[in-house]
Amino acid sequence: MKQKLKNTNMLSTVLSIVIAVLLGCLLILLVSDEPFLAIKSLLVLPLSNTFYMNNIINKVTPLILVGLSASVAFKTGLFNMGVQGQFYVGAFMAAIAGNYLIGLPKGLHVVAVFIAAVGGGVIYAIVAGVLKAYFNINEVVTTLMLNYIATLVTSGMTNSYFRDPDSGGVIRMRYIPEYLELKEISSLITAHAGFLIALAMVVLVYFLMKHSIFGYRMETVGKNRVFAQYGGLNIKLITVFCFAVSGGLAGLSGSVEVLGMHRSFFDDFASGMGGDGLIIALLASNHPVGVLLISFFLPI
Amino acid sequence: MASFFFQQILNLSVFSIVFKLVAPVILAAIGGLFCGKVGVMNIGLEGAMLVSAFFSIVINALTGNWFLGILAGCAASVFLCLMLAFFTFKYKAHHIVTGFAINTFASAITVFLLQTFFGSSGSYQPEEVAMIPVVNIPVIEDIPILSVISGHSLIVWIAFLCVVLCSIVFYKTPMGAHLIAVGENVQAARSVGINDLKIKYSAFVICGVLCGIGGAFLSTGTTSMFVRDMTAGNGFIALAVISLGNARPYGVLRGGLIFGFANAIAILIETYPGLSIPSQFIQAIPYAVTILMLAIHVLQNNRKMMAPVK
Repeated sequence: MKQKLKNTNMLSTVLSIVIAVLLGCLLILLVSDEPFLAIKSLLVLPLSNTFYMNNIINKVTPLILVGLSASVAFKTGLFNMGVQGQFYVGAFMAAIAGNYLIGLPKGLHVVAVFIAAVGGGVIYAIVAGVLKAYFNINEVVTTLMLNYIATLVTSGMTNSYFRDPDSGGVIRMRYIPEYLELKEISSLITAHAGFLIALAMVVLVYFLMKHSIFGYRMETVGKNRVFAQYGGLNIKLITVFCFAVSGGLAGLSGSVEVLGMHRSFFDDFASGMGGDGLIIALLASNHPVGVLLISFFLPI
Repeated sequence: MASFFFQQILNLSVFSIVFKLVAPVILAAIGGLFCGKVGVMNIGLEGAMLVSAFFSIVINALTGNWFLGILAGCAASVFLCLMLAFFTFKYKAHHIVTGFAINTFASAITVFLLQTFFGSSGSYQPEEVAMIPVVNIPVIEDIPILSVISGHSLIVWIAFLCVVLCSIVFYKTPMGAHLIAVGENVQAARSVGINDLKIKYSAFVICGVLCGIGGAFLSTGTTSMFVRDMTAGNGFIALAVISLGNARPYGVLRGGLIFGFANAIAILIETYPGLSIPSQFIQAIPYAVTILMLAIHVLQNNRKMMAPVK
């Protein structure tokens, strides 16, 4: 029975991807002058050589992390729509720490940047978590509001106080020092090392969900809140913790994007990221390995 | 600075700003209230308003008639809401997931159509737009203080009217009773012969029409252009306003007005001469105020519950 359920789940996921690709092709047929060339470049070209492949890996890296972020929250039955905001806060904090903690020794600086980014995401998500747990305010509304606040405030900061004077027409901060950048993995795989971080997080979240007491508690709360309450679980604390993990992953995703790809914080540079995370988590039915696989489909 | 605000309030320009801001939010909130009564938190309000804003201005520019524009906007918005209802009730998809998908779809399809038909990815500004008319009340507009209520767009009045109508529908008509019954307990409603699907779908149609009017107001009532994602969270704020108003029509009106004043003050600060705060911070105020108001609201409710019964 369980096996069967799993199979239909897989089938519906695959089917929805196929339908999405077909719809995309249909749309191209409708508007493009050279539909077949367009479709070919959409579907075949990305897989045809290593340059494109590495490009895709770079694009997939933040997606895996935001996908994980969303799925941790969904698993607990919480709709963290605020992945976008937490992502921006993480990215912004990474860029700030990268630019303004210059005095630190290099190794420590790298650590500090990650702590700043993840911590920013965690704190930002905990706001919504506390409001949900202790005030019983619907998390969907608060996280959506927090998204707007994060986007606007980081944009305002980048526009005024932290703007690089040499940035010309582009609104961005200063570039981070070179030793902070995530390097290429190897000469063959030229994607940046953020991908390894993402893979490590997949494993970590997998263990958190499937083999830890917290994962079990999160799932119990997600499946049946009332039962969890009667079972003596501290739902409030679990809610806040779950938001913290979710926000931390989103913040990490933001820092990886800044350190690996952009080397600076650009004004509103990844506006679809949060939405992509939610979609990935849904398609993967909140399974970490599923998130990894689905993430590869999205940029193609 | 205080004198500046006092002057503005005395000028009563605050009220016209407030009404302008509040009308679409209240319309969407009342629409969302209908969905909420049948047990669905409709986060697709945002998307429904967005498509309406787009289609109403396009049809408006093509026909030169504001009413046809609103109708087209409503049609598009109803279509989206019915899509949401269909996936939620027929295929049992989670309404928040579906609503989110609807919003993404609305945001993408408007930009896509903008690009294919008008060759622009940011905004569409037709040369001639038949604006939704402004209601000037003959005698009152000359009386000093009462003139506040004159000179607002037709939609503002429709929004207030909707609150009253909604209250009547909910608490005085069979349909309202059915709506509430279906939302509270579907089985019980069915057992007394209420066609629950019909009630649910009609709630979504009503929601679609109201969002349609609100969206049309954004593009052809306050401005005469469409900008991508121009709803800017109005639909989400409407959801917050619903909870502020304890899911009651007049509560929604009150919540909407509080939000509107907070927002108007933010706009006044933004236009205050010689201020050097980045404008983005001030634009973020309404969203922060919304969260703050929700928290205060909960605290107040808790205190009421804690208070000893007399």
